[in-house]
Amino acid sequence: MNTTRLEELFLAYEDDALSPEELAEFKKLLASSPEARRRLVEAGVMQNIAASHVMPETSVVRFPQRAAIWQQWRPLAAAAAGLVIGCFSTSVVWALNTPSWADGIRRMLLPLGNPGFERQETLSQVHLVPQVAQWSGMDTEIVEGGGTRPVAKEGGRMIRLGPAPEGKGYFANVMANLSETRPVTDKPLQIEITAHYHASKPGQGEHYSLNVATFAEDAAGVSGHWENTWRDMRDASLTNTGKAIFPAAAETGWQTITVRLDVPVQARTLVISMGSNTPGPIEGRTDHFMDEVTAAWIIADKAPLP
Amino acid sequence: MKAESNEPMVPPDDAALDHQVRVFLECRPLIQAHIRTLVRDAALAEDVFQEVWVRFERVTRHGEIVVNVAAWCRAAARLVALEGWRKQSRERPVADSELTALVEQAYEEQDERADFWQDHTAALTQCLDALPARSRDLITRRYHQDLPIAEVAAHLGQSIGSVKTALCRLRLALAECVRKRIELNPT
Repeated sequence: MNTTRLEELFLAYEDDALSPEELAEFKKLLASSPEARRRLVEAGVMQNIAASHVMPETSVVRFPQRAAIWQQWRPLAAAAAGLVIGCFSTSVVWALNTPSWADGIRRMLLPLGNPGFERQETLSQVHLVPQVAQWSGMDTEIVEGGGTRPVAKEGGRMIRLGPAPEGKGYFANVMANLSETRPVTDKPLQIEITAHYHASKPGQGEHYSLNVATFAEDAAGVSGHWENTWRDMRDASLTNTGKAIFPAAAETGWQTITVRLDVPVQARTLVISMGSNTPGPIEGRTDHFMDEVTAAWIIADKAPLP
Repeated sequence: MKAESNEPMVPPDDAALDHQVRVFLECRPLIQAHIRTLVRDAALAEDVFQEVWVRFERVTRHGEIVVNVAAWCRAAARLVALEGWRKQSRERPVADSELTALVEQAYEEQDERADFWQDHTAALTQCLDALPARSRDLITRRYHQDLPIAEVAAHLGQSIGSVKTALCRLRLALAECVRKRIELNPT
């Protein structure tokens, strides 16, 4: 078996780009070779792991242009003191607005309301509040971490999702305004959303999900779509995606889910829905906890190669 | 979708249902990989997997015993994927039933090797983490961001051919790395 040729065919298959001749060759290889079939499974596992696994930050670090300017001016001793203070101050503000360059990606945060759930407030017990930056959810509240509960991921407070009636999943939801925050660019835009979940009963089938979708309507219009489940939202969305994790027994503590979503030009509202569920009867279920949810426009995603 | 039914005379006990969920979790890397191989679209694969889990959880909650969890999930995934394609009015990417059957055969042959694939997954994670920056970047663009080769090439300012070659080599190197790690740390 020619392994390189097989990999070429896999790549074409993944992109749905097999020619009729290549398709015949691919089928012949798979039919005749147990090794090729095993390699097909290996390739599927690799794609799946690579899609969800967050690799360590690369050594490629891109700095904002102001840092480069500061370095250019550094030799000018006469102006050094004032210039350095001025540039340093500016870059601190800049860094707060675009928090991450460490992986070669520039992000601009969207306001989601109550960052880190540190402000104590009563959450509306509905699926979606008809306005942006307002967290809500059935049987959902902001609680202090620690004591009989896990310690919050960051800060002191987090969201608790209580067992939902009738064996349904638990949800906490929020909307964000895309029209007012959209970066000016002629390139396709994406948003990256990250959420943290505390594995309460790892290894027992508990399930955490992060679902996101964009809509052409404003928040008031979007809130009417949610009748029963997230499926209602997906069906009405412009774009949507989601990811779920099932913590294994060893995966205790806070777990992270990150997804990226294409944002078409007509999108005005983003909906983020964080869910959790534990299989089995409701009396055996425990509370679930979530913290530190961020959404950010991906501004520049072209890291220079080392 | 109905669970395979060699219906017990009495309702299954909690331990049997717990075991059923545990088997699902053990098979999860293969279930997700099968879906990914089938639909070849990261977002749709995630949707299909979530829906398969919801259906599996439902039958488990209703006390139904699934005799072969992996096969049940593959069948459910095929149905859900078809529904998804139909809903999006998209043409089914795998129009070739012969190829679909070969994909099924490939995964079916691994049904009894859930332990091996768990080791494989752990080793693969280590191998991915150990990649040099350039290779990580390539893998991230291709599989994390789910970009087609042409777009990866455009982002990197390289030709499609050179990106294809680099990906082929990288995937083979990863496979070799996994094999070596499993050999070094047999369970």
